[in-house]
Amino acid sequence: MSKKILLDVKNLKLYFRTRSGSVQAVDDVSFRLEAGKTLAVVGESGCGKTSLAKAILRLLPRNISTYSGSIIFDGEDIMKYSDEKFRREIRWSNIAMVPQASMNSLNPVMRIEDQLIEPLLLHDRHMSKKKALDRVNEVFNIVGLPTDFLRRYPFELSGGMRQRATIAMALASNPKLVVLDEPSSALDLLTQANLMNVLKKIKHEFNTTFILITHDIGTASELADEIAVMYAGEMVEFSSADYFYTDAHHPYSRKLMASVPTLREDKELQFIPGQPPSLINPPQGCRYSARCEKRFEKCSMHPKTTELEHGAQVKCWLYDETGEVKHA
Amino acid sequence: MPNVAVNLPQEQPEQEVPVLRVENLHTWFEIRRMGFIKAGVVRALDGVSFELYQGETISIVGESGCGKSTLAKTILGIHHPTKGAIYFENRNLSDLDKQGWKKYRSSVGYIQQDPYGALPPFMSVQRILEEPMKINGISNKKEQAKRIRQVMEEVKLAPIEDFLYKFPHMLSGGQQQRLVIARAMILGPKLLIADEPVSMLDASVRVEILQLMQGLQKKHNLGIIYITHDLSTVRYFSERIFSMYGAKIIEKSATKALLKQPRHPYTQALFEATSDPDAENLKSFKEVPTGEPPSLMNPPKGCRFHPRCSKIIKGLCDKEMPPEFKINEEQGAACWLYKEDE
Ligand SMILES: Nc1ncnc2c1ncn2[C@@H]1O[C@H](COP(=O)(O)OP(=O)(O)O)[C@@H](O)[C@H]1O
Ligand SMILES: Nc1ncnc2c1ncn2[C@@H]1O[C@H](COP(=O)(O)OP(=O)(O)O)[C@@H](O)[C@H]1O
Ligand code: SF4
Ligand SMILES: [Mg+2]
Ligand SMILES: [Mg+2]
Repeated sequence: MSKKILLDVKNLKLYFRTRSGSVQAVDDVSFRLEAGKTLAVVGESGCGKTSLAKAILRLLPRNISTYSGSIIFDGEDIMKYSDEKFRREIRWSNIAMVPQASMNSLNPVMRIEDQLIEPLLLHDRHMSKKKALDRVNEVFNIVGLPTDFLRRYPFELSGGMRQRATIAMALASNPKLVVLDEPSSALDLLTQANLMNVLKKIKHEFNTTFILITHDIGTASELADEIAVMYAGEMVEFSSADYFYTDAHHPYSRKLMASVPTLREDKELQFIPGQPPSLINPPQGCRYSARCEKRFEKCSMHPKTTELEHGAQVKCWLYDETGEVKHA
Repeated sequence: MPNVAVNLPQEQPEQEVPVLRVENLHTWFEIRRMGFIKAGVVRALDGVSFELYQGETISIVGESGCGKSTLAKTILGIHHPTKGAIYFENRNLSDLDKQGWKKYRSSVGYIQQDPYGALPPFMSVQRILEEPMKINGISNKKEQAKRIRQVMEEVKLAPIEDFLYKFPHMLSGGQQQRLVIARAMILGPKLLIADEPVSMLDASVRVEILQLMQGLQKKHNLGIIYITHDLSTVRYFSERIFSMYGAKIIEKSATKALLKQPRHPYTQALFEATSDPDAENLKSFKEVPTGEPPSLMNPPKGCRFHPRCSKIIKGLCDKEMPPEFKINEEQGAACWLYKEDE
């Protein structure tokens, strides 16, 4: 069985221009994602997770200084598409995004139903209103919302329901890839668990590919097949969830895992002293080196990404080209 | 109304007086439409009782809107209780005069929920730390400087000179929270009330702050009330856990006992809903109740959790409010499942 790569990102960069200099929010990020799999992107706030999502969806603010690399989606380099073509053929129809806190950005004076059919009608001039309504009913069922809620206004729904409505909106076009930016962070624990159940169901039933951005690794593990760790704008590790939680490669990933409290297991929690570097003029060498316990001479140079077995990759001098651990 | 208090896990000497005793506490808010028409009452805190001894830490867990912050603010005197009483070292707060309140306020440190709103943006670190001392009559400059030095060392805002003249926005999230803790400690409190002190922080910083608070607790033998919605952090902290639902405490358990076996169906649901990082999680769905927490303006009859509870005893749970039942020396729950057979 050959595995289909849905998304192949190579050397993606997104820098922002600011008065104090260029912010390297996404710096030379490369990874591949198989169709039907979920990638969780984790890391501390400010490490570039949202910027990565925006770079993939080409949702760019005005102050861009660099935007480069290639994004092969379903076999096509969509970086080469014009903005018009990207808007028509990619965004929403094939790659949909549920932005951070989007449940609070529904239009308060429009019924949910009208907000959901609008993009369907806009994207497909030939679609009848009846057909759009059918689809909207369908996605409401998929996310587990009663369809009579379609006639309601956002304020009549609880936070968890509004979040499901925004996910329904993203699913309406039947996209191949859905990017979820912190979908459950603002929700209560039980609501969050219910939402993860819904996403899991969608993943199994429709084989949807997800990129799940979160700082909550426990919740991520409900959905993630692969884990990408970002640190100071770079993707420092990409590994299978099968071993990431117990045997992460990068020293930062390991420390990050050691800082996650667990309910069912008593472990000694650790924290990482210090702070991530500024993304304006970040250090020349490994960006984690100032905080890394394993640091050695080579770390003052910029580490390249080493491919390990099973498609894992790690950006750390401890691993050389053969994937063998040198100084661990 | 029967209210069987749960015994403390550790034996308390007969004569020891609790630092804090809260008795049948109610805090209701009147909601008015157009400023004067009474539209209803929010029962934000609806009959809460417990005791806390010197050096003891308790965690209060529950989802947003269940009344945690209202409990904290009522204890602190920010809200006036509608009914019930609060005793600090055996003195009823309602008997305190102005001087007594001043003394009480300096004995209870408060870490409020919103770290950004907590710090006045135009005050330097030094002024932020001086403020509570000025209000409480510590005007000697030497004494002020000494205390500032001491708390800043304790919360590791060092070297001190680097921080004294900074403004809150110049500090990282973790440093801001350490400043909030320093301010809460500056009058030498006996009790610290920490309302979601780490919720807004990244994982690593969260651990740093929790360990810092743990250290302060040991060093000063502080009583701590740690409020959180995250069950996974409580083990590192508290001797007892209270879980809250619908403005009531519905379980009181020793931490170890609860982590082994949560008793109230709601605590069980919180437990089930919490994910530890584990690749096995991919393979199963979580069995958690759907629906929403109850309205506190119009709470359901009987047990407030009954509309969502899978273990409901029809005819009982939906009719009568369960009292607090003692399950064993370490655990108690307000749930009809634990009613002893006659
Ligand atoms: N439009 C922008 N202009 C300048 N800097 C930005 C802009 N958007 C984000 N940043 C900066 O880029 C970095 C990464 O931000 P973000 O992608 O939002 O991180 P995360 O989602 O991981 O918290 C941060 O330092 C942030 O301040
Ligand atoms: N000052 C107030 N006036 C009216 N209602 C309030 C007030 N403060 C809190 N509430 C309500 O009381 C309930 C409990 O709130 P709160 O104590 O903040 O819960 P938690 O801290 O557990 O999230 C909520 O329904 C909230 O909306
Ligand atoms: S009292 Fe009844 S409804 Fe309430 S939690 Fe216990 S079993 Fe469930
Ligand atoms: Mg973000
Ligand atoms: Mg609160």
